[in-house]
Amino acid sequence: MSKKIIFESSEGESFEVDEAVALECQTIKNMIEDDCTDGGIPLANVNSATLTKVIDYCKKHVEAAAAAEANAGDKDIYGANKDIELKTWDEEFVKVDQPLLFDLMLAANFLIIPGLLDLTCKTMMRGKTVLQIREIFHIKKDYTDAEEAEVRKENAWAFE
Amino acid sequence: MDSLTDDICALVLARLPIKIFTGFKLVCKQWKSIVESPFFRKLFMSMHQNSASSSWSLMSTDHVDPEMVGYYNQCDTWGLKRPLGSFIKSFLNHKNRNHKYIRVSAVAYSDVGWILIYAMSTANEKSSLYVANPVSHECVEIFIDFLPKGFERIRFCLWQWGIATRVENGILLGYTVVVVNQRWSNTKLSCLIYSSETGLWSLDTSFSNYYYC
Repeated sequence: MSKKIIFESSEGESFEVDEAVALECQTIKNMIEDDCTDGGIPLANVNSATLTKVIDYCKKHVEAAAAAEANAGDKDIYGANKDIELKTWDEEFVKVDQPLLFDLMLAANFLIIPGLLDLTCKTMMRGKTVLQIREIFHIKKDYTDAEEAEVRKENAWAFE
Repeated sequence: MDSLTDDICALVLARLPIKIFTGFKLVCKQWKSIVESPFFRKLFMSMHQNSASSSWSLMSTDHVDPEMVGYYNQCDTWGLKRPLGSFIKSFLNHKNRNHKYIRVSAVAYSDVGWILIYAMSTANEKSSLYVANPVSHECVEIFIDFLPKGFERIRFCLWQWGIATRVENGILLGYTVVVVNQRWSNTKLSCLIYSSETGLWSLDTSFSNYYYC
């Protein structure tokens, strides 16, 4: 039986996961290597809802990597099918509300899960207009009309 | 959600295509200063460097299928739906107000933001070559007045281009421009190489057992 690692969310709830899943997080990997995971790992800045999602993500990616390895023999050189399936899964995974997406990003940053960090960052801002960005992050426009025109002019290629 | 600190903000923006985070300078003054900061540039570079601090690209001139151009232009990094060349005229006109450009094409890209621009100016139909970065607003002209014998600048547009850049901490330390003769009907391949270290063009001809096609 594989070794288990216990995470503790900010609410004090315990989550037991396989070591292989926990190893997806670079921060935890370092802790496991330093052998300081006994008695659980308290994650004071990750709440239960976020932690559940993070564990789902890590599990899926561990499974996908294992499956890819098992099928390595009969897969075409691009490994296309598996990649598309995982990509679709990722896309579904981040269809959550903005606050949770934001928490996921912070958790990915803290736990160092590069794939999840990349996914959440891109999802958060891709395809958004400047107005939508201001709304999401509660930012007030502090440019005067003249200043705004100047920024537009300087970076005209980006607005074409 | 309100607590989008500068470093978190940079972390997110640096993962977006260049066109998108450049556009987001409009969000507010703080975001503009983040995108323009050396820290941000360093972060962006570190995320787009798979290997060393240099990046390399080779691509063809405009008669190539636009979709191919899109692919080779690392549109994922840049976030463009059409070749950057079609955006770049406004940038160059803004940089060099005393020139009027008739034709501007971005002929090669490096994935850390640098591009090689080939431009025709109205002043005596002169053609010029620039290495530029529309993100950091830097632009350097490469002089093409002294080429090895037998090469006329006017014929440049029939060639294939490549640019390699050496960037450290967001600062361009050096670059090499390669121009490859497209008429490789035989096993001879000649290329003109420009190095920013010497400031000179040199001719290199190599022979191969393979046909270039």
